[in-house]
Amino acid sequence: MEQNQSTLLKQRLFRIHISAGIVFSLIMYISLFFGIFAILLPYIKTWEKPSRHFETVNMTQVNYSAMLEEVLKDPDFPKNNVQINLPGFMGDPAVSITHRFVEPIAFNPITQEKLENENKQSHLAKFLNELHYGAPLQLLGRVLFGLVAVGAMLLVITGVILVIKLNFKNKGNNQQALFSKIHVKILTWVFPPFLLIILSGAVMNVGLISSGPMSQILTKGEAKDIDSLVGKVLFPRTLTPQKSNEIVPMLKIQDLLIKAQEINPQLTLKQVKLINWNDKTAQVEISGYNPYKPFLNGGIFNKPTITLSAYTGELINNKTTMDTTWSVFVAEAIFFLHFLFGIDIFSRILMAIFMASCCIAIGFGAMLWLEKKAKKFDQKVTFYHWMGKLSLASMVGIIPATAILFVLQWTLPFDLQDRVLWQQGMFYNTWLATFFWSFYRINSYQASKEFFFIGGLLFLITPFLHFLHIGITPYTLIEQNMLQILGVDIGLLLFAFLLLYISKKLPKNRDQAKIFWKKNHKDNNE
Amino acid sequence: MNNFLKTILLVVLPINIYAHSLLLNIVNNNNNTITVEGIFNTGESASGALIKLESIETKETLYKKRLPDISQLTINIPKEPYLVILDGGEGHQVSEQGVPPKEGFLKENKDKKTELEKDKSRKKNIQLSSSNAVIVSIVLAFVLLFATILINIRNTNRLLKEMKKKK
Repeated sequence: MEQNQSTLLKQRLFRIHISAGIVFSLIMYISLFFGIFAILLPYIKTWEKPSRHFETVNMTQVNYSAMLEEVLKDPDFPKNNVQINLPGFMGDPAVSITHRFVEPIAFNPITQEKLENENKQSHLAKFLNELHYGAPLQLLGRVLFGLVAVGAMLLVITGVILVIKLNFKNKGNNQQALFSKIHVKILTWVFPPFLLIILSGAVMNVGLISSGPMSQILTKGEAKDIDSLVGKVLFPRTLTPQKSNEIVPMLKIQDLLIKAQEINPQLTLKQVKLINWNDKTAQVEISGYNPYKPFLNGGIFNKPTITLSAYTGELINNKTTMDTTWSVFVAEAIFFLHFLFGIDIFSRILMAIFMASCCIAIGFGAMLWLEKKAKKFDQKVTFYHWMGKLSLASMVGIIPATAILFVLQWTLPFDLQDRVLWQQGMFYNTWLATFFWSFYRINSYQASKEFFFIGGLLFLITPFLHFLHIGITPYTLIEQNMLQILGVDIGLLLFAFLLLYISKKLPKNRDQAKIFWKKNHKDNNE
Repeated sequence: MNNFLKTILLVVLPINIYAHSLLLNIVNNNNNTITVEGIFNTGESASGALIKLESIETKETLYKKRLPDISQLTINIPKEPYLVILDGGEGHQVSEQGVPPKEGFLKENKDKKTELEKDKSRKKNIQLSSSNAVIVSIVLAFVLLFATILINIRNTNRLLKEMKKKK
């Protein structure tokens, strides 16, 4: 009796896992695919703008005064609480001077010239990031992607239980067995961080609809939104000193930065806020990130800061990472894993590889389902299933569509009207074209080979188009210490070669596929 | 509310909710002036945000100034119907219809506001659809979708014939 119940439970779990998997797999894959680009967002953001093609300089060797004067000359620019984003902040080599109510003004810290921000002409990194969380579909997209994240949590949990209960042997000698093995093995290795990432993703997207009503319910209608409720806890207000209205000379910002580094050498400085500038009570609030305490600081809620008098250089306040409440740590830690605040390039690449492996595992999961369906029609009729075609366009067709975005970044003139709309329109239509092509080709193996090839080719030409457009060579990029930009080009080239290799290696049809996967399975087992 | 509930709320929050909301308070001083205050829903001052008075009829900017450190401005009431706009940058605009002066507006026109607003939204729609990029993309998308449906029908029929032949 007990054995029957256990078998029944396993069967039900398996069915839940399969049906939920096929429902959520496509959007989950799309979200993870664009998540890879979102991880590399700071680098793509610099790469996509011609105005940012210069070396990142040492922040303590920049003369900020001239740039600041230029900005403050504008009568329309707020004069208090001006914020300076230091060179290297979010990968941007420029100095940008901003205020929470105005658009940032960017400067080249070497020449101190105002930069064309290209904000209206270039949205590549931003768009890739938006595709990651469903923003192009606005509220519907966010809710949909959030629910998919919840669904993915269900999949991970049922998957883990199944792995424990069923004890997969991974010993079969056919396509299905290999697909199952790859799906199970990868996700068994990566599920703990994957679960945390999708959990935070679900919080961010689904929380959008739940936080307002929840605040109303919990406060019995007192608070209409969450912000008025917890804003004071997360963002405790600091008292601004009263102006003395006595104008005095200010210390150089670069000298104050050196002093801040001496006070807290563990901090990587990012931003400077100027309070009561030019007044005797003037202060600089220098905020940064402590890389020795990841998960606890550097994001939205917990910013370690050093406050100095801009007149005397005297230390007013040194707020370290640990000087906050535990509830702030909770919020910071949840969002840290998703946003990777202040994390270096190596950790980002590691995370990108991890995300890519999740994509592969999900892809093989979908293929496993399709293979089971295809087996039923073996030798009777060619397998032509709508889900197979939709999966092909969504999972593989996404590659040439994304490649088009990169190619158009350097082929569309920057002064073209509605440049961003053209670029994004072409992206959607290329994706739709892959959908058409998936249905056009009865043989999905051939279509996938073509998608990989076209995607590879487009990614391959992108760095050359970039060099041509900017009029720069890889050697100049190395010579002028623009390794971050060159890194993106190299990354694109490597990705292109990988896609071309996959396109060459993949089987041409179902008969070849059977031999191909069998051979690979055998090699793996040996 | 206890700490436990606060923590639950912190956890269920989306990040964009943390972009605080701006609140606009307008006080009629009854001397033909109004005091406009900008504040965040957390109680934080919105000093530096732009306050604009805009004519409802002509859309002309009648007054424009950034909020000082005290986050309040006292402004003379215009003689025509107007909107008070608190501009906190992209996606953070709050507006309210302004109160009339003691003697009333010189050019009273209540219905015009709604008409103008309708006109504004109409114009917005026209602007979006008049972009060549949007038109071309939408047309192309429909062509591709129809082509996909047609090719799907063709291939399905081909496969059905193939199956019948095998039988």
